[in-house]
Parts: sequence; structure tokens; C-alpha cells
Amino acid sequence: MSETELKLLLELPQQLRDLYDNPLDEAYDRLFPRAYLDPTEEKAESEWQEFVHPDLHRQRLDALEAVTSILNQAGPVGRNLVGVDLDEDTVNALLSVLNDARLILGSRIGLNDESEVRSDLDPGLYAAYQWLSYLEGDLVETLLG
Amino acid sequence: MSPEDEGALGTQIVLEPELDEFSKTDRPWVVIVWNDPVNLMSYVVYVLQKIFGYSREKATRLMMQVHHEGKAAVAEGQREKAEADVARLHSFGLWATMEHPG
Repeated sequence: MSETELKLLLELPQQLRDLYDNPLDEAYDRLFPRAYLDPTEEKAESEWQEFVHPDLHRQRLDALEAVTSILNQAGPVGRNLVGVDLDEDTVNALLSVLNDARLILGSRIGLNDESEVRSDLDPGLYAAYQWLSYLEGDLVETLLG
Repeated sequence: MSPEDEGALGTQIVLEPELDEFSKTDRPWVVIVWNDPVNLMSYVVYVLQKIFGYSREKATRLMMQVHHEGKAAVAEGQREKAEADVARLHSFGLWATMEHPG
């Protein structure tokens, strides 16, 4: 990736971290959703959330740290390009961070139920979303092997 | 389920627990994955394979069902197992919930 792209990636962790701390953000529910839709299961729901959400938070923060760390180790791999060596743990961390970022961006650019993104929305966010999608798609294809 | 009463003839009457509560505890649950426009199809396949050990074919079939029908039941089991499955799916950013089938 280019230096610019690396810089963009490095900005993700803080943005994600801000969201994880902000339950009032509308994108928060998408990252920490309910398990039960049945309203008669409220008790099970709150017990489950009490048990699961702190772990989910921790996992996500760990992934952010791992990604920040590995990205800060990026070295040159050719003309104007930088690269990182990923092992299984960092691959999964990066996948998690990319996916979370896309979920949040998707919410920001108003992705609705249709699978087509409205390109008339904020073009900067839309471009970032497309680029992250390309990156994640690439990573998944590699993992699926 | 201990006997609560002795009938007039000295027989023991065993009171069944509330049928509703009993069935709620023991009825199986299904884990539903919902479609959302953000998750890549390839990613959903990857996650289903990773969490449940499904073959590529099965994971792809389930993913297509999510994609075309809006949702699919990807697993079933007792409440605790379903809750754990939902948590794992959430940890991958998939939107999943659990419910009784049918």
C-alpha cells in the first residue's frame, strides 16, 4: 500500500476507539447488538450482555492495539510502497478492524437494506468505504485460500 | 420435582413444573444470521467456516440464503450454546440473534 493508505489505516484505531466508548452513537448498536429479539427475554438479554459485551469490547481493543503495532512496523517494499508482514493473529486483528471500520462507515454513509451504496452521499466517506472494502475483500480471499 | 402433597389415600402427588417454564428452558434455539449491506459475501462464508467448521459448500449455501432471503438459521442447540454462538458471530461483526424455531 502507499504511504497515504498506511496513514489512513493508522487513523482507524482511534476513530474506532472513540466509537466503542460511545453507546449513544447509532453505529454502536451495530457493533454491540442484541442477542434476543423476543421482548419476553429481556432478563436473558441483559444477563447475556453483561457477560458478553465486556469481552467483546476487550477483543476489539486488543485488535486495535495489534493493528496499530503492526502498522507502525511497516517497512518499504518497493517504489513508494510500504508493507507489513502478517501472521495469523495480526491477520485476524486486521480483518476485525477493517470490518468494524466498514460497519461504522456503512452506517455513516446511510447504507440501507439495498446492497448498492448511494454514491451521492459524502464522497470522501464513500471513497474510504470502497477502499476498505477492497482491502478487506483481498484479505478474505487470501484467507479463504 | 419433589412431592408436594399426599393425597387422601396416602399416595404421593408429584406436581409438574409450569409447562411454559419447562418448555422455555428445554426447547431448542436456532441462531439466525441477518443480512446487512456491509458484510462481504466472502467474509460471511469465511466466518461461518471459521466458527462452525462448515464446509465451503455449506457456508456458501447459508450465506446465499442470508443474502437472498434476508436471514438464515445457521446453527441450533440449547440456550447456552446458542448464546455462545451469537456472541462469537457478533465478535466477527455479523448481526445474529437467537429464537425458537417455527
